Amino acid sequence: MSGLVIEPPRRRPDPAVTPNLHRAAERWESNRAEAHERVDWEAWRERAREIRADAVRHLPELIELLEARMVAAGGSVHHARDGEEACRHIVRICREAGATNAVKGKSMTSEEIDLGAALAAAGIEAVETDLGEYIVQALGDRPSHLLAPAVHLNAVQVAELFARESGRRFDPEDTAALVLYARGVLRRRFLAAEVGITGVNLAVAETGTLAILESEGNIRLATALPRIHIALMGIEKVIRDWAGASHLVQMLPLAAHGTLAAASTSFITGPAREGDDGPQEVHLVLLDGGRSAVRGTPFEAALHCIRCGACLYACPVYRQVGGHGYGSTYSGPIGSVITPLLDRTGASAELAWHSSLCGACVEACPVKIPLDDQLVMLRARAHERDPARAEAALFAAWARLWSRPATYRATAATAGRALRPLWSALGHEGWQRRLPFPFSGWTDGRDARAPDPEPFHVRWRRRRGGS
Amino acid sequence: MAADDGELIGQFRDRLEELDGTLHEAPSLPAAHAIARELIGAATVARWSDEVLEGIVGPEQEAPAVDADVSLIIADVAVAGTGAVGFVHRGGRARSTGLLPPRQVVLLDVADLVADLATGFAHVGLRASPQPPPSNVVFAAGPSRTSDIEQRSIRGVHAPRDLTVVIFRR
Repeated sequence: MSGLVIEPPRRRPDPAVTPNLHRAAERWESNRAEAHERVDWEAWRERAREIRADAVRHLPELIELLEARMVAAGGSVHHARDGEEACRHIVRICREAGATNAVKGKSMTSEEIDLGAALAAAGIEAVETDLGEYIVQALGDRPSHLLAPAVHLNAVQVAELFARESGRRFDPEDTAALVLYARGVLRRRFLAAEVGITGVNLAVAETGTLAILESEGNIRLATALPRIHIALMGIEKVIRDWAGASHLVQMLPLAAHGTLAAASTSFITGPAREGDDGPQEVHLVLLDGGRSAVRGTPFEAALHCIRCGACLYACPVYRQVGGHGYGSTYSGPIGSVITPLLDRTGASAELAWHSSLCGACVEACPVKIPLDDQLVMLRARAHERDPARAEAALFAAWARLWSRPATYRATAATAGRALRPLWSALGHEGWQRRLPFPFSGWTDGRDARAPDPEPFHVRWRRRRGGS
Repeated sequence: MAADDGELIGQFRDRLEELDGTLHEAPSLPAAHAIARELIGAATVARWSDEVLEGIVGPEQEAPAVDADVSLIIADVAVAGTGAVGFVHRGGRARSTGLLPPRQVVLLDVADLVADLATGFAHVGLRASPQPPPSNVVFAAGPSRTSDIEQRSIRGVHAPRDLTVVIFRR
């Protein structure tokens, strides 16, 4: 078992919050346009791709170097073959220190290994400190975007949650008051915490340094106040040197938000020294979780991902169904690619069909992962493993009918005529906003158009004056 | 002081202001102190121990970081190309000092202003060398912020809500 969290996808997002998702995607698009004016985007992407490709190609030696340098700086490194082993390491570090009180920074890798459940089972209280993650955790929910975990929720839901927690009243329009409340609650947790648990955006092998980017300052607090810092990282996040780091720590916020710098970027090399007030212990848990097996395959480029979230907002499928529609930790185009690769059970093979193959994700990707090609390869792979004969027979029959003019004309016209009474019965023609059950599910999120009783090929022949 | 300082400072100012930070220019350290004093007013202050910060506020105005209104610290580097200021934390320069108070005043020596991030890394020891780099270096680009609630941008979550840089010449 890989430990990768897969749950049944939710059928469709709550219609009340879909506008929030659309707004986020639109904002990302306008930020992207600005970013492209700011730098030579194509040259920057190529450079970023080279840095990541070099890292993944030389992964074993770079991991070895990272470990040696980090240990030399006083840090500890723990290797985990899968999620369960990573969770065991983290629980053991907490237990050995007698710690039961942790603050957590946002980490998709921790979602991947279901760390929250493992900590809770071990009696370790770990509060999420990124605002969106805090909200999602308090609601017993899961994040729906790599960087914007609560993008599927609206302010009314947040105000109701905070009111339940505190017994106070909150105005959903007063966002500053909501943020101030969360700041106060979390500040007390930070001051009491014995352990800070974070993810890692990239690790610089040549000096054993961990880089973590953020907006809110919760990572800085989690790596300043508690006496132990545990960082969890997928092995593929390592890069060779500082030249590469200076490019990627600008490329990541550029691809994610259109800015050249995250609000805070922390560079951590071992525990505190020289009377500094940081943690006395720094532990790095290196998760393989199926990543090594992807190296050397046609899917290797998927490991280049820097988790910027750009392909999610760019994707027309993600924009409609939201992150929970995928039922996997990683959603959007990159989630549809890496989930089946990391999950060895085959339960997520269907994700490769959650795409229109339009290629918008490929254009958005700052490290040029050929996501569309990989999705097609994954579809082929899934088909080889599970040929789905009934479906194949249906498509073969359809192909036979529609590749011959006579049978195509007969069936295309029939479809239009057959459905016409349904629309007429509703008293409307053309576009329909609502259809009755059992078709109502379709019109919850879109309009339906009545098929034209006169197919295009008939009209075309008439226009050209043919017979 | 190089001849093209002005251009670099102008670029830094543009980037910092885009990020909702504020920049003041001072012709000397005493002038920088006067600006800092005015920015702080009667608020309580937590500060790093460094002679550059001596004499800005009296001891009666100082408070532990967890209670202070303003943090008074020094940028070890600033990057004109991104608008970020960098802090090297060590003894006398605690991480929590610049993190817990809601407002922040940062003194920056113009000699520590560099053009790009790669130069900035080298400036604070983030490079390959026989000795490990500093244990903790933070680059802050503007105040802390969130847009986790309906994409509405709010300044000030866990780290400072206001960030003012006072750049001075020796």
